[in-house]
Amino acid sequence: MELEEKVSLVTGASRGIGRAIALKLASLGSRVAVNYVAIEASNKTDADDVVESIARTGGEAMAVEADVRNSEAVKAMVEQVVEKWGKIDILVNNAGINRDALLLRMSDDAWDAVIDTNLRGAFLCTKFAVRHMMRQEWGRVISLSSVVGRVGNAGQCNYAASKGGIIAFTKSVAREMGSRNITVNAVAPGFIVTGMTNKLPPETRDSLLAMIPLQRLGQPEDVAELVAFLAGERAGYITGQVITIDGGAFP
Amino acid sequence: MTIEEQIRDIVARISRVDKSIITRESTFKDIKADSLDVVQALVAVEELFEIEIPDEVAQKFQNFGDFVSYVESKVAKAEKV
Repeated sequence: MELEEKVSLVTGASRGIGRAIALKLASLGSRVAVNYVAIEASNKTDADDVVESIARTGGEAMAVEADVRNSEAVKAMVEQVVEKWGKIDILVNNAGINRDALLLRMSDDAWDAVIDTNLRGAFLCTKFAVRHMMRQEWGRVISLSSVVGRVGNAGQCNYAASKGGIIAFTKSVAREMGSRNITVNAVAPGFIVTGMTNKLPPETRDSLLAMIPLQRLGQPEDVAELVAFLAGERAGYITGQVITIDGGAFP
Repeated sequence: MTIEEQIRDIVARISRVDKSIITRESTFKDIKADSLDVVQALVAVEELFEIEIPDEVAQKFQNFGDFVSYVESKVAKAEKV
């Protein structure tokens, strides 16, 4: 199997795209640490469910709790994974939230919460995980950006800024880590059917659909396929890239 | 192994040079260590000896000997506490 012997850490993996990525990486043979944050009780149940799903299909996984905004917590999480499985090969920075509002109505809290989780979280996880990748001179860092990080979106200046930040972060770290055979890439999904996009009103969904040449919203599994490709040996010469996966809406 | 030998091993491994070429007078340039090699070595040494080496201090290291002396003094201090 393509990811046999690999160890992956997927943040925000209890639901949505993160869950699909964790399941996909495990299906390719990787051991997977399923990160969740204990803000809502359901997150732990959901993370345990991902771990059980992986175990049922003969894979190996564990749930790891950490708030990605917290430096000490992230450090402890990375150490927990390395203690159990001896290394980290693949980091997927997926944990993310949105708190939408038009600029004039956006609270400082909404701005900080989104930037801290989506951008600072990716920074902290990458910082602590690459140490282990550098030693072994092999690694993959794949971060979830978004098409709105490329093209912007009214009502999401905080989210779009965090996702645009992921792109610049990715390109910079790719330059730093190339000599250690660590590739650093981002994926930019369009409209994917998850808890985050389910909150959209039906009219909005319909107008979005009209913009998509492939005439359907994306599924978490679509994104997971791309992440799995970037995580594998076959993508070894791709770094510093942002790959859009949006059904053709924003080429 | 002495502190110096342990640090020499780390620097040699990261910079991919034979450790015999690293003397206390060697500069990072002599060892052909680039900025990432230096940072990686600092982090590895910090983890091994459970000390912190502030960037302001590290930037002043003129050679391998300065690096070793600083770590030795930090480790000695930590042992006294």
